Amino acid sequence: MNNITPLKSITPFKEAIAAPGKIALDWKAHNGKVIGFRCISVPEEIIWAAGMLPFPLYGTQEAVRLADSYFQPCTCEFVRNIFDLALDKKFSFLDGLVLSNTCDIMKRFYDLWNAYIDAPDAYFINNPQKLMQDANRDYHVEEFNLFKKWIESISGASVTDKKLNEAIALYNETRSLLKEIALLRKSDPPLLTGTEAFIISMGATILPKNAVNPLLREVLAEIKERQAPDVFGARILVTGSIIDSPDLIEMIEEVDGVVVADDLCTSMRYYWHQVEESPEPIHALYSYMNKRPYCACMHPMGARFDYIKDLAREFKADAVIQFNLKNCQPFLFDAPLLKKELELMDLPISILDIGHDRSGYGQLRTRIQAFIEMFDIE
Amino acid sequence: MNQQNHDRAESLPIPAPDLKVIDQMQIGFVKRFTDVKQAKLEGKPVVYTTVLAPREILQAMGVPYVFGNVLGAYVSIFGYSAKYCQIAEDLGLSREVCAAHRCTVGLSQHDEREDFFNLAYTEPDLVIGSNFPCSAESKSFLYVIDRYKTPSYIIDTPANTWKCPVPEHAVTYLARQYQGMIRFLEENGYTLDMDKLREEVAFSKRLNELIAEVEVYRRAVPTPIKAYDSVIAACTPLLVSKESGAELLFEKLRDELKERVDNGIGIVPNERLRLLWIGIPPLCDFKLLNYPEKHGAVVAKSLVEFLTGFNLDPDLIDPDNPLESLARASISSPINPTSQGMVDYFVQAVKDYRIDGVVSITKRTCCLLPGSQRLIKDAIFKETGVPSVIFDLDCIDARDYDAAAAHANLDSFVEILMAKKGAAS
Repeated sequence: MNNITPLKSITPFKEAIAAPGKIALDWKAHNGKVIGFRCISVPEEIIWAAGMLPFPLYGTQEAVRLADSYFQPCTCEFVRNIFDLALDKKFSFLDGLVLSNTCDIMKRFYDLWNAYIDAPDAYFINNPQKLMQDANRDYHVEEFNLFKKWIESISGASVTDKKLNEAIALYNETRSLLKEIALLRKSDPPLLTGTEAFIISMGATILPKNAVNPLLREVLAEIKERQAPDVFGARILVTGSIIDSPDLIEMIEEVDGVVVADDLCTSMRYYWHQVEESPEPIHALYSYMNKRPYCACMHPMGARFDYIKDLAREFKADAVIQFNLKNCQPFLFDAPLLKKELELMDLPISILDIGHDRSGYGQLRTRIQAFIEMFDIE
Repeated sequence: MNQQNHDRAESLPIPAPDLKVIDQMQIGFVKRFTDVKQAKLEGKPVVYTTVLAPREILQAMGVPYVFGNVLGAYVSIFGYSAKYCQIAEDLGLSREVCAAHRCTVGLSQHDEREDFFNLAYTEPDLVIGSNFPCSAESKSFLYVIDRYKTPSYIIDTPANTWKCPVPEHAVTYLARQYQGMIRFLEENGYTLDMDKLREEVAFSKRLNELIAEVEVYRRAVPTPIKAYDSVIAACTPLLVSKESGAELLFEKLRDELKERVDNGIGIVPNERLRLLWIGIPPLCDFKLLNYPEKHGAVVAKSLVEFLTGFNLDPDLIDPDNPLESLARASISSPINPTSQGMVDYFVQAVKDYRIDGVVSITKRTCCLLPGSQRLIKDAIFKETGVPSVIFDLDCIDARDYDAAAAHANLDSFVEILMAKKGAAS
C-alpha cells in the first residue's frame, strides 16, 4: 500500500505510541493525577470522572531482563516486560494502578507489583469472567462501586453520576469516531491501511479523550479527502493476544496483505460498542462490559467466536491471522477451536506464535508472506 | 517393606503404598470408577467436571461424575502422557499449553484407551467446568464439549484479592453460580433434595476435620507418612464417597499415623532433613517424591493437598447454609488466586512441619505457580530463614521430563542443606 498519501494528522497518535510516558507526564504537569491500568475491562470513565488520566500500561520490545527473577521465563513475555519497566521505575509517575480479572499471569502481576514495586499498591477489579448474562450483574456492579470508592480516595474528588455521565459521553464520542474510521476499511480497497488504523486506535487509548476527539475528527476529514488507494491484497482480520506495537500489522501489509479488521484489545475491541446513556451510569458501564467483545480469558467462548465471524463477514475478510504471544494460554487454548469454526465458513486462518521482544520476526515474516501468497489476489 | 511389596513396587511406575490404609483407599478409587460406569449403563447422564467444583452438590443430586483433571493426572502417572499429549497436539493445541490439560484433552478425544482408562473414563453427557484455580482449568473442558456436543455450565469463581474476610457480594455471586449449576442439572434430569445436600456438606465438614486431625500427626518428627501415601490420602476425599466409607478410611489413617507417632516410627531410619514440595507432584515419575529418602530426607508436606481443594476450613462450612458456606470456604481456600493465601499457607506449613528446605519446581506449562514462586520463596525465607530451591521440572509430559536433572537438583540441594545443618550443629 505504498501509493497512499501519508496521513499528516496521524502524527500525534504515532508520538503517543512512541512515548506514552510523555503523555502522562504532560497531564501530570498541567492537570493532575495519573492512574495506570490493565486491561480494557477497567472502566476508564470512572477514573476520568474523578479528574484523573487513565493510562494503559504498554510494553517495549526490549528483551526481558530483571523480571525473569520474579516471574519464571515460561510466563507471558508482555507481562514480564511491563514488570521490567516497573522495576526500572518507568511508571514512577503513576498515582495508582488498577488491574482487572483477566488472565492468570495478570493476577501474578498484581501480587508481584504489590510485593516488589516501590509504588502505591495496585487495586484489583474482580470482574466476572463469565459474561453475556445477567446473573453477574449485582456482583459486577458492586465491584465497580468499590472501585469508584477507591478512585475517590485517590483523587479526593467525588465521582457523581453527573460527572460519570459526562465521562461516558466523552468516551462514547471517542469510540464512535474510532468506529467511523474503522468502517472506512470496509471498502475495497479500504480507505486507510490496517497499520494506520492500528496506530490511530492504540494512540487513542493513550491520549486524553478530551484531546483525542478533535484529533480523530481531523483524521476522519483527512482520510475522506485523500485519494482512495489503488491497491489490492488479501483482506486480513487479525486476532489474538495483546499487540502493543504496530509492527505486526505493518509486517502483514509489507507482504501485500491488507488488514481490514481486528479483534484486538488495543484496537477494535476497545471501541466497537457504546455505553448506553442511563440515569444509573455504573449500571450502564456494567451492561457495556457485559456485552462488548472480550478476549479469550472470558466465557462463553462461542460469543467471542461469533463476534470474530461477524467481523470477518462484515469486512469481507479473505483470511484470519491469530497472533499468540508465547505462553499466552487463553488464546493458545482457543486457537484450534477457532480454526475449526472458521473452517466451517471456508475462512482460512494462520495461527502464529510471536515473541513480544521481536524474536523470530524474520521467520514470522516468511510465514505470513507464504500464507498471504496463497490467495493470489491481483 | 516385605519382598512381595518390594517386587510390586519395582514393576509399577508408582511406589507401593507404605501404610495399609492407603491400599484400601486406592481400591476405593477403582470402585468409584465402576460405579460411574454402572450409572451410565442405567441411563444416568454422566458429568465431566473438575476437582474444585462442589462435589457436595453432585453427590446430593445423585450425579455420576468423572474428574477430567484426575484422569489427566492418571495419564501421566501410568506413563501415557506422551501418547495423549500428542493426540491433543495433533488437534492443534500448543505444547506451551498446560501439560496436565493436554493429557486430559488427549484422553477425551481418543477412543482406543488402555484397560485402566476404559474403566476410569466414562463418556460424558454433561460438562461442568470452572475457572478455579486457573484458566487452563476452564479451557480444556471446551474440547470435551466440542467433541461430545454436551450441554455445559461454567462456574466462575472470583479470585480472592480481598484476602479475608471475603466480602458478601463475592460469596453471594459464587453461591448463585452454584445455584446455576443446580438448575443446569435439574434441566438435565436431576433433582435436588436439600436435606441430602446438608448431609453432604456436613460430611465434607467432617472429612475436613478428620484431615486436620491427620495433619497433626503428619507434623511429627520423624515423619510417619511417605509423600506418595499422603498424595493418595489427599485424593481420597475426591474419589471415595460417604457410602464407600471415606470417613472410616480417614479414621484408620489417623489411627495408623497415631500409632507410628506414639512409637516414634518414621518412614526413614534416621530422619535428617524435612522438605516441603511446592509445585505439581512428579506425576510421570512419582517415585521422585520418595527419592530424597536415600539421603535420610523426607518430603514432609507437598502441594497435592493444596491442589485437590480439600483444604477447606471446616469452621467456614455450615451444613445449614450449604451453598453460601461452600462458596465462602472455596474463595478463602489457599489455592484461590491471588497469591497471598498461598504464601501464608506455605509459610505456615514450613513452621508447622518443621521444614528444613523447600523444593519449588517450575512446570514450564503452568501459568499459576511460575508467577508466584519467587514471592513464596522470599516470604518463607523472610519469615523462617528456611531456604528454597527453584528448578524446572516438567513432571507431567514425560517427553519433557529429565530424571537425571531432577535427581541431580535434589541431590545438590539436599547436600547443601545437610552441610548447613551439620555446620549449625
